[in-house]
Amino acid sequence: MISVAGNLLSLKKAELIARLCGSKDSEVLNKAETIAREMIPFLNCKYCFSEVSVKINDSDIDFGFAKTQSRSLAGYLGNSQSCCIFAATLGLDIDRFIRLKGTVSITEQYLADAVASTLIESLCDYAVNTIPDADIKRYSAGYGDFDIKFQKPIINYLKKFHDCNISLTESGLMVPQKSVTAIIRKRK
Amino acid sequence: MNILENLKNRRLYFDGAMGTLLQQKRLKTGECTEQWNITHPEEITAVHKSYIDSGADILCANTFGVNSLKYADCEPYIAAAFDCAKKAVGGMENKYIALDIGPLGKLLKPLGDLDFEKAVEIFANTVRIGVKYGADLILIETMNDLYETKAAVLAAKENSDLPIFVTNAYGEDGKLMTGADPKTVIATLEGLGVDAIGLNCSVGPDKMLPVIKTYGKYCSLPIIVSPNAGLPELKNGKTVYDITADDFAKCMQKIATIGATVLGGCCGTTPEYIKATKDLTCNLELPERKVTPKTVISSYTHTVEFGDIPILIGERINPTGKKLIKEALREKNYSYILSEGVNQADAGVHVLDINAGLPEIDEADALCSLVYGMQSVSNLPLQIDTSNSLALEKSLRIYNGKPLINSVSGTKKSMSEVFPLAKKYGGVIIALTISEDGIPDTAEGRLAVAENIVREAQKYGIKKQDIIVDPLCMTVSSDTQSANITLNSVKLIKEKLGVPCSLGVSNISFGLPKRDLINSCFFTLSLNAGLDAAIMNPFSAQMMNAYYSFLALSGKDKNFNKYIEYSETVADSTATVSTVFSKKKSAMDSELTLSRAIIKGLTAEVKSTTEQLLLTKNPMDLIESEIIPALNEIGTAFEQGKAYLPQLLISAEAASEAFKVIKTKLPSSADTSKKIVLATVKGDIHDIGKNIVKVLLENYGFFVEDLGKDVDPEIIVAAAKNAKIVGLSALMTTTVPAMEETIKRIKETYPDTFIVVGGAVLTKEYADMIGADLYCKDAMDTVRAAQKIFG
Repeated sequence: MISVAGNLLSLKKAELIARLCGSKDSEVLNKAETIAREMIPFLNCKYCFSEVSVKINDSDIDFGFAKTQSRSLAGYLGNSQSCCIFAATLGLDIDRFIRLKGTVSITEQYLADAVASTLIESLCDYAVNTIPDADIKRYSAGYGDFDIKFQKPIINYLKKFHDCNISLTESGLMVPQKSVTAIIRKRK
Repeated sequence: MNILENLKNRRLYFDGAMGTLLQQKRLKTGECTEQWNITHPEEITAVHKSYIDSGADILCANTFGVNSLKYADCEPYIAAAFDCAKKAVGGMENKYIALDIGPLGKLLKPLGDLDFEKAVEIFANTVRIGVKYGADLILIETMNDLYETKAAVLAAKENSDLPIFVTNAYGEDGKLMTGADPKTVIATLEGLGVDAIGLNCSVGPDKMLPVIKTYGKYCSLPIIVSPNAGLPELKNGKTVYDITADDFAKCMQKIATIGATVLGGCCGTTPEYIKATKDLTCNLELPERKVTPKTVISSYTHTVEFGDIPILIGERINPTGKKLIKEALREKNYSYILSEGVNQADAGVHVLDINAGLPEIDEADALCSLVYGMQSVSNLPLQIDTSNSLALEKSLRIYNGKPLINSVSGTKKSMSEVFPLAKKYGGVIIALTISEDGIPDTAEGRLAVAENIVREAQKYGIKKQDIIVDPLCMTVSSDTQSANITLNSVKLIKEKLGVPCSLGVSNISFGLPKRDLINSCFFTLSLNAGLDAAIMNPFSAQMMNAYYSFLALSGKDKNFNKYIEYSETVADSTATVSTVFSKKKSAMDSELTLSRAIIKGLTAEVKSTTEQLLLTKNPMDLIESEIIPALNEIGTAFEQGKAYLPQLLISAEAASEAFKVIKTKLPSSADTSKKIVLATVKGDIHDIGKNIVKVLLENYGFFVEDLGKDVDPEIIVAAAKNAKIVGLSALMTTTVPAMEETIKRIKETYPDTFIVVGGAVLTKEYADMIGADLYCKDAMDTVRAAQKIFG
């Protein structure tokens, strides 16, 4: 996986406000920014991607390593013949940081969680910019009718070629929790 | 010849990859290699034979991916694997077949959802079968999590007498995926008593060199190295690796000179790689490695070494003399206790003491919960502090790393209970200089007890470097010579026995007023006498002043970095001015009502105002007239969309601060008549929403039993017995079935219990569908519901 320095990520205000359920209170936002700075040493941001061929027949999609059925994903891919399989994570220490915050203050834990959710999106945006010809829009398992269980074959495939340390719990939650997997089409 | 005997005299060679060769033989995508043990045994045997022919001494039976998470019945695969390997060995002497155990593919709790004991049982099943089919040794490999490694090692130790070899998979950052650095892995595995350790997989031999050098410097066991053939890439639909056999072997030659005595290959390697490696290294002399014994403990990420800089052990998690800790233990409110640990960590301690010794509770259960809980929020090593041998055993078993064990004494009973546990699970033991005759009143007497303890420990196979002696501080208020005796004991024990010393420093002043004055002076004297570790209160400014000043004055603080950093946190000596100022400020702030302070979330002001008001007001009056109205005002604003969740939380936390102060004035017992059980259901490891609900409910006077996350339905049903309301949360659609199952089981057993549900994925319709009594959209909604239900 490719490492990214934590201080290269940006805390987009609009995204953060959305994750704080709309709160624009300046004290809250300042506190969130302070927590973001505290978080930097705990960040172990990484991403990886592999290009694969894809065959689409109506809603049947064959990536070669696995197949799925999804009308919405087929719509996103259009008539692509290849796409990127992508994963990114902020790392396990962020899970610990958020848990640690919970012992001190539920508010700080809540803010830390919101900040981390904003930062993983920032990591994905940063990473996608480095992938040749990649569209900025990503499509993750769980969107539309794209089965969330497809996270498993994505992670298993990426593990073959990258040091992809993302795993899934029995119920399909990713660990580290601030991780993303996605299909990325080519830019039109 | 036994493999361990063989290893003393020569280098041994593992085989290389199995999967790489089977892919050349058309192993299908998605097909597991172990399936070929049954469908293509002749191919497996052929691969093994090719490695024997290339010079391998140890074959890994093709069992890496076989476990009961994957297969209901593992035995056919393991039996077939050993059959294939034995055919390849064909009775040759000094060839060994290893039961090959790989990771389970699931992260253990608290990070993931696999229970530690469940992991031990899964590995144990594999070990039992491997022993049955004639394994010569057990290889636990490619482990990228220290906790999972420990589970596998315990399974191996508890189910066989075979030699245990362990290799871990380090990332490019030189750490395991879950954060352990090499010194931590070495300390933990040596503590567990395995026979050889090292690294495999992830990268090629060149990238392994920094980690191997660390092993060379700190590892006293034989070192195993089995790298990949570099990095994989997909070329023309095939996976290829970027290091040739010759380059691989050259690098392995360097690795052999550093000190590795067991060499092999992992992904991408073939018999060619093993032959090339053996050709270049088999005639090299076995290196003489001199590893200096060190007294080391670890958490799951890093080690703490005794003997260089004096170590601070935070003493605050101990119910003795602490009303709030006692209450928290009785109520199983572990989050309060964990916050004490986190605060001590912030204050600068290196190790946290964990003591749950309260007669009226299940100490083993409490201690385990605290050890587990503390390790899920802090990466400091822990000192497990108990005289209850069951509590000690259970907590040592689940500890992730190599702990500090407090303590053993010089009595036969104590030594016979503690030493076997320390030998099995690993740990550094604090040895108290108490014999069958009590505490000697001379330094020489305490030295004699210490010597006896060290001698006895060695009979159990516990090395001297895993003992720290505590010559005990008796209070000077009952014996004016006790400080001198202790200081002389420290000097004598360090000189004659050569082991580190620790003290529970604050004992020296028991019974005297202004204890910190005595404690801090005694602390300095002890440090000067050579004290290596102190169990102390890091919130005492005088103690911390003494510590950092000592480091600076004794040359243990290069460039005074630690002292300068610490000094910036210390109030200026013109504190009288700032004290007056802060008193004036308090006076101004007291014009700020308690209600307003809560609404504004001014935690410090809430605390000071509550303390002042309690001088003249009844606690219950304060709650009714100031706190509840404040919560209602912010709660209503939240419900009307005029305030948002962060503001609600900030106010709730400020209110919690007021309650903490009030609790010290109210009778100890918690009011359980308004009991609510909360849990995040099985399979779901998110809990922030539930924690928010808990804080608000407690503020409104409800007694909350928080069962945590990923909770089995049976546990929730059991807790529902005396609860009027059970609150369940779930975050994902995949975990809602678990919620439905839990609701069904509660209703079957306690039909009158009210079930309230919430969580990101839920709606009222869904809640109705799964049998819940009520759906609450947010934390405030839950509070209103609870108020209505309780009436």
